[in-house]
Amino acid sequence: MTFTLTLSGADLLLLLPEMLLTVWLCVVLTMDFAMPRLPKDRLAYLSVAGLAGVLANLVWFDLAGIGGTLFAHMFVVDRLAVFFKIFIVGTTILVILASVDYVRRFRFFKGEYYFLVLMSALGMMFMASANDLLSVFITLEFSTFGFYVLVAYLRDDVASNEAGLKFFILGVFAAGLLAYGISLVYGETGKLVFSDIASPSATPGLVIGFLLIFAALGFKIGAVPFHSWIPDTYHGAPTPVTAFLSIAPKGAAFAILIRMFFVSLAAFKPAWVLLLVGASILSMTYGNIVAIAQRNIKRLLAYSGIAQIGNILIGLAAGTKMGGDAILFYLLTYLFANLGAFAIVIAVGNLIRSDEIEDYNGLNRRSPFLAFAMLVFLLSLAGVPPLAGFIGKLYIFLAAIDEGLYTLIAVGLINIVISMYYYLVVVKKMYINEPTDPSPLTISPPMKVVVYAGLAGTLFLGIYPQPAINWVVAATLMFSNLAGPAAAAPTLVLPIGG
Amino acid sequence: MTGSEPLLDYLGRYFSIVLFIGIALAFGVVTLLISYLVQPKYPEAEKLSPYECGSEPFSDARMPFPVRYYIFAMLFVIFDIEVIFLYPWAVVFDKIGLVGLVEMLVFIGLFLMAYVYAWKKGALEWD
Amino acid sequence: MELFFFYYLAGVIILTALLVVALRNPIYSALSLLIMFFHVAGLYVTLHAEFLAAVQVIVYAGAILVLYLFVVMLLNVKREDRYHPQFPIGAFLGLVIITEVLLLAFRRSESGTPPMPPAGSVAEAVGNTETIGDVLYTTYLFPFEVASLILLVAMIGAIVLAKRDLFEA
Repeated sequence: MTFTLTLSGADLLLLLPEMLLTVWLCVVLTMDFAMPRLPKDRLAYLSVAGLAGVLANLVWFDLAGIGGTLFAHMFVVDRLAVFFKIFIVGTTILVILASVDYVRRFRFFKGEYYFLVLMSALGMMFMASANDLLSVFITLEFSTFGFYVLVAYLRDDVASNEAGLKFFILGVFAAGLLAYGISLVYGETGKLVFSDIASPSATPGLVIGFLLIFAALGFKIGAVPFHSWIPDTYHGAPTPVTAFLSIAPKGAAFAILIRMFFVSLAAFKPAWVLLLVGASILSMTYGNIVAIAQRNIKRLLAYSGIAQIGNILIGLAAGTKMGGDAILFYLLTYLFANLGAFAIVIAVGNLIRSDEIEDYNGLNRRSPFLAFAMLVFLLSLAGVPPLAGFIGKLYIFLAAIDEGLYTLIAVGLINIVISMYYYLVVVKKMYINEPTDPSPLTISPPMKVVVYAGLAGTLFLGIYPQPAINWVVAATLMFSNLAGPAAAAPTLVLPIGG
Repeated sequence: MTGSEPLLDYLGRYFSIVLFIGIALAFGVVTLLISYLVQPKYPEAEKLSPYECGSEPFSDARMPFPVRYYIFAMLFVIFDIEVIFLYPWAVVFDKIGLVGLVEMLVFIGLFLMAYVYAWKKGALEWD
Repeated sequence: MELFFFYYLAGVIILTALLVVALRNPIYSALSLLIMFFHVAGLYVTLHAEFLAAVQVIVYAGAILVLYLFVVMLLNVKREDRYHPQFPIGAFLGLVIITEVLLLAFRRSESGTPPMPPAGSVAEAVGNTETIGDVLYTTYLFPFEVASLILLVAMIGAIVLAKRDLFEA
């Protein structure tokens, strides 16, 4: 018996962004080994050019409403997938621009860095489109392999090796859990596609299978109790890799989580709401409390990232279309604020070779621009109006209020107060303390682009979020039939200028 | 995939392999066994001491292991898997037509790129 | 008679798997692992998946085990004379997981036949290799191409992490 494969032109069109990126990364790799004398910055700008082309392609997909499924529903291109792909490609562009100075300091393997970043981005783009468990497994592993190498990239640095080793061992263990969970679910239902495994009866095998899959995805996003790799990995990895790792994989994993919970597990909502409420409370509380004690800015941002994931899980726990919108919007605000903060960390780290918070003393004296940018990004992460983080948190809490998750919201509000403390400590050090060495700091043009992009995004999303809200609402249109209050597109009444 | 023929008939086709493994094992075991049984046993302290050209051995035989062995083993695994994928493709080649050829060319093209990369970067040099 | 084969293979697999973690000398553990791989291949043969059995032997026993041995020799791992200090926690977790697996197995046998994947669509006469080839290059083309990308990144990653840095400015 033969199975036939029919791939028409329209089908191949759906794969166009990934095919473009694959061809482009082959070009980058070829130029790296074929022209060894080429300054490796050119490879960075070449990668950015390619990614800009992919981004334009994705924006065209979004505006023209191109979509469909391929390969027996394994690969799906819908507005949700296009949103996450744009998210990932945008992050990658900014990360590559922020890495240019850092990579100049490597002694060797400079070109492969850009290649590995592009590979991980490609893997995460595939993750955003994965619609069945086999694709989830293979794309998740693909995107993580690039990161294993990137985290351990500084071969001479003990911290980097340790970070890579810890990340790798815990990562493959999570992959083992994922494989075990997928095999249990397949054994119970006989199918792999998300819409097919939505079975009405909760047999023990199915429950344990989904719990294991959630554990593996929780590892990827860094939710408590699967967060143990985050502080050491973020601390030891090269800072641009940390920036990339703290944003993009979380977004891609949330694409999968949203599909899994809203499509496959829609029938068991009361059960998983409890699970997610627990994970959210633990993540927020643990992340915020431990962040207070940190002396190293990368570890501080690592724990703050755990707390931010706890916030996003509130949206997932709400389980409605509005919760899904809130998750997507919050991810956008998190992208700009976190990437901006890490860009400042990379810039300061390049210039003074240290990541301790003590060395941020008096940053205002040395570079008012950097200090101001850091202030904006940290306040956005904390959720202060009129910045993007405030709208993000407001949206998430509105989604949770509609579902009646009052305990969760109370814990969330307390955690906002706690998180303000450690963000403001850094701000205080920058503005009020005296610097040990008052020489001025300047940053290079690519880094300026990244910081300006972060500032623009944070301010724009905070003051005028309506276009972004329309975009995320359109992206989750397929979930309009979820159980929950009427999923009308909310126009937020802003306390200012509304 | 339960078969239409009884399991013993199916496994019977592998009997020659089992026989082969059995003879290989028996060959090694029987020769050692017979030599153990037939050898004269008159141990003395002089005969039992380690033979190291006159001096006692003072450390184990391990030396720092060159990492290039590991790189070659790793490259071997990767290309081995490429061959594994080629084999079923070759078996169904007549059924999957031009599309099948193109997809395998893409697959091999990516490996070719990896190979040229390894070559140009000197990973295939022995020293 | 089929049960005899299954019990022999499964028994040896469990035994050698336990030996892998229980033996003190790491080379002995690797050799137990080798025996386990051969018996897993035998298990695949009893399931009429002869291509998978061959792949198991060629890739696992022939390439991956070699990598394990090289790593053991590279790191000069000596004999371990005592068990890991976290052994009690590990044993507890292992007991929990075994209980879960047994529960699943016995629950299954009470509630009747589980939903099986549709079997009869595969003609037995063509054999495992052709069946896998039929499906892999048509329905499962996407994981296949992603697998080639995974191997590409693995190769580049291995060279980046392990190659001696004699070249490049």
